[in-house]
Amino acid sequence: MQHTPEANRGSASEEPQGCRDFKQAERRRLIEAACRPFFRAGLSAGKARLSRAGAAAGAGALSLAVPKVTYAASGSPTRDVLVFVMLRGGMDGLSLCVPHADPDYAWQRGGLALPGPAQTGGVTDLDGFFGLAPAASALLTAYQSGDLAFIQTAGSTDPSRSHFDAMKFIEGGVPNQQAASVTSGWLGRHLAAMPPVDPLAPLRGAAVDYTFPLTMASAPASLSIPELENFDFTGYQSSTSARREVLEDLYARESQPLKGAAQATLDTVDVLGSIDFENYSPSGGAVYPDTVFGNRFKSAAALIKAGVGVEAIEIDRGGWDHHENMGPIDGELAEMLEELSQTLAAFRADLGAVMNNVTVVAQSEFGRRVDANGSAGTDHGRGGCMLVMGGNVNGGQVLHDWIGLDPAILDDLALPVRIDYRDILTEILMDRVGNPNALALFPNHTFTNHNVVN
Amino acid sequence: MTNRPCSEVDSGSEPSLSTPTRRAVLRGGAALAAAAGVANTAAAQAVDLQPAPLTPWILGRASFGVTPRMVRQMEALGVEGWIDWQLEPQSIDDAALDAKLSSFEWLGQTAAQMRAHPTKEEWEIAHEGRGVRLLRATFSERQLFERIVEFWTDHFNIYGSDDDLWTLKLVDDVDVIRSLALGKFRDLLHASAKSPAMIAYLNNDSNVAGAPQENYAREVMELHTLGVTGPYTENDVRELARCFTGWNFWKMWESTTQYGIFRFKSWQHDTGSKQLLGLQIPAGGGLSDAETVLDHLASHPSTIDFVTTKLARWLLGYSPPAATIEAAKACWVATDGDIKEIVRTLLSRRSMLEAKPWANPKFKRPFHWAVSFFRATGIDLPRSGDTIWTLFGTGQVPYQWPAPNGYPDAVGAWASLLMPRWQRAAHLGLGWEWSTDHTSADMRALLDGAPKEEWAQRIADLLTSGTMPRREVRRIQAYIDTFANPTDQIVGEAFELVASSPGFGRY
Repeated sequence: MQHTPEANRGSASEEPQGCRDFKQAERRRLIEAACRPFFRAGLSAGKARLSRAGAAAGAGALSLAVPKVTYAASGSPTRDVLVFVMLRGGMDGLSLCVPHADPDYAWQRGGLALPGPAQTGGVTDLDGFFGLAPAASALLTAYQSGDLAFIQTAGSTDPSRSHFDAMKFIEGGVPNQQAASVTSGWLGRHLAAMPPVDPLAPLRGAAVDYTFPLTMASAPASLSIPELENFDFTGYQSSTSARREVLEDLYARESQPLKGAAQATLDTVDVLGSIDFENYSPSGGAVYPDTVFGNRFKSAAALIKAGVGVEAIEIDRGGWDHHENMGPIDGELAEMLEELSQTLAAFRADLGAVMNNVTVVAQSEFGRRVDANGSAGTDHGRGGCMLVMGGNVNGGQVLHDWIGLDPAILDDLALPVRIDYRDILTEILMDRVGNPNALALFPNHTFTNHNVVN
Repeated sequence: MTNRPCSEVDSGSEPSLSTPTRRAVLRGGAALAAAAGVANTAAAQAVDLQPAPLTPWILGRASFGVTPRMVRQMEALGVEGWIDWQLEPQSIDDAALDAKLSSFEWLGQTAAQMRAHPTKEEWEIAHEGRGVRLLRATFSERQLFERIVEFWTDHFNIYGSDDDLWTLKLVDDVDVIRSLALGKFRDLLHASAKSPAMIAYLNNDSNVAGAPQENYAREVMELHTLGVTGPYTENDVRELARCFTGWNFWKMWESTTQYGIFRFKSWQHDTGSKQLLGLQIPAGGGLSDAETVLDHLASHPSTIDFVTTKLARWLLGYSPPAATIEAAKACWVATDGDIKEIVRTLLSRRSMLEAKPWANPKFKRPFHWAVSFFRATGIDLPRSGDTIWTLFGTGQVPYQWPAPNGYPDAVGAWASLLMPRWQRAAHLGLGWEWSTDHTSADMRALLDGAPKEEWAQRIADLLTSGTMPRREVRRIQAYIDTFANPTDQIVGEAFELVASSPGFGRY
């Protein structure tokens, strides 16, 4: 021990009042942030219990010393902002976009089957064959307005049912390869290949998370930012710019990826600091779920509206690995579908006309097996359900290549992959995000156009 | 003398040192060793000449943060003497840590006892458990052991904030990870498979005859043993799931006293024959079905390759030398997977010289970064649970990684999270941290009266034991030099900048 803080315990009372206030506010902010179940799904019980710790922490209101300015939305961009949502864990697409008219659905799913459209608590019919789960009913408006399409039987051609392999191939955009060779993501390669929308934009890609997803690996000017509203230097403001210069110099001679990450971090401080996330008020009557996922979308909306040149945002949601007690009707899966649906619906309402220049894609690494397992859950499968939402999406339809659920024709007891997720992404990147070379992002893939966007 | 069963695989010509400077460090070696709890004779034999830069780099890989005191230990004992000493953790006095842990009355209790705690709810105990992990990493003298514990905690990752897992993970930490971290891999694998926390986390408790549930069966091959490129098929996953049917633990509704103890429910076991991985499991078996497969997996060449390479990456660098990996794999074969000997092989002086950590540095993960700052500064953590709250934003808190693959050990996964570190560095440097009691005066005391012109070097020496590049030290000193008065603010910012630097971030 170099020193004994105990000897100085008494000095705490001599601290300036401002410092104590700061500590209190900081404590409250951190506990509140940490108490949210951002890592894992279905922690409603844990959340409720944990929130008592937050309440016990007490402390006064957080006051912002610095007034913030709000960016006015800039001119209409020519390329859509792409919002990518990775639903980690293997979302059961059959419980979202339900094949209620398939004769094998109900018996295969047993107790996990959702009731048909005519029944109480049943799915809402979408196209005569598929129906929307009641838990996802918030998405109905977007679907009926033609802004939302479901893509059933979608996924990666790679047969792996390992979460980590499947995610690696999907995010890397390179199925059927040695996992070890996947070092960049399709979104990262896209950003690297395209000139910035705004040459001065410091932040082109943002992953609103604690880790940087493989999807964005090798992207220039891109960062993971778990809390968009809290991305700034702390300490004495009088010396902020001088300390910042030191860090700029120190990291300038690092190798990648540290050098690029530091540069992006430093450049991003100004632009995020100029957006008033704390007081952001959604438009269009939008109400985001007060969850980490919901709040991240809310911040993303503020970021997009600020028009600061962000081209791609990734917001992930984990916890879809429902091996037991899946609960597609009133259990955990239903809760998660509700959160996902309400979040996307709020995002669309909030963005309003801006949604004409935004495309949202949500997908999972794989779907789940058709048959229920012994613990009221499902094991890892293959084909899943993608969601594509935006003002220029050819919505109001369920894209699919359905061959039925007869176990004899399934892919090892799972829904086969009939629509390659790379087709969907390629089309969006070409037609909505303006990348003329999108085909090159997915090597060894023959593109098929499914007309999912205008 | 330490028995070295793998010494023969560590033969060969000694690589030449890459740095010309050699510094004789003989002063008080034996006395230091005695103070450190090592027999004088062993220390006297081990004292040798160390190249100055090598010691802190090896210590960096073998601990949660090098301190000047550890450098003196290693200089006294020699590299291998220090590693040998650390590989017998029970013999290392840890009284200071034990005193800090004595207030956690639930530590070492069964899950049933924890659940019956008179005042604390499970999540509160679980949160204290995260704090205990922080205290151990920071204050334990058994630093190499703690680094290996960290490795296995990720390898056999269990998310600890859920239902049964609040308490079961804490039991798993003591009974499985810490008990066997330096034991035989086979024993560790078996213990993990029977760990109620693992059974609950990967759903083996709902894997029953007639309705197998393959979650654990898949991950034990993909993540714990063979590796994802290993020789197993989807059919092997299903057959192994059948082998594991009936593996369960006592639930609260079954017994409040036996709660959280492994339980084989023979009536839920699929007694049919199984065929997998080239093995024939005859019909009529029970618990032994899966045990047979675990034995097979524990010594499978793919397991040896996958786990040894991963451990080598942990200790030696992102691209460990192939020769060292081969030596460690040979050691595995020779010792039937004795982790202690494998680690000894990986951390030999020769293998370190081949790995060249100074030329191939690793990037500290967030938890490592924070712990290394606490270790170097000696900041006390009287409310470790509160300190854990402050670390959530950095992206890494014990037992909070949701997926079974554990926190990543790659620079790319963490490089884009610099801002949370810089924010914490400022709070810690300035004494603004609410979870600790240290003040700006304490930070100034660490300067040991050094004149302002030497602050950057003094802090760099304290925090990195000399591994920080001179260029970085000079740049931070230039910042200090712009201020005429040596105020507490400048002291705090000097610590902040060193802690925020690339030099402190690597190890």
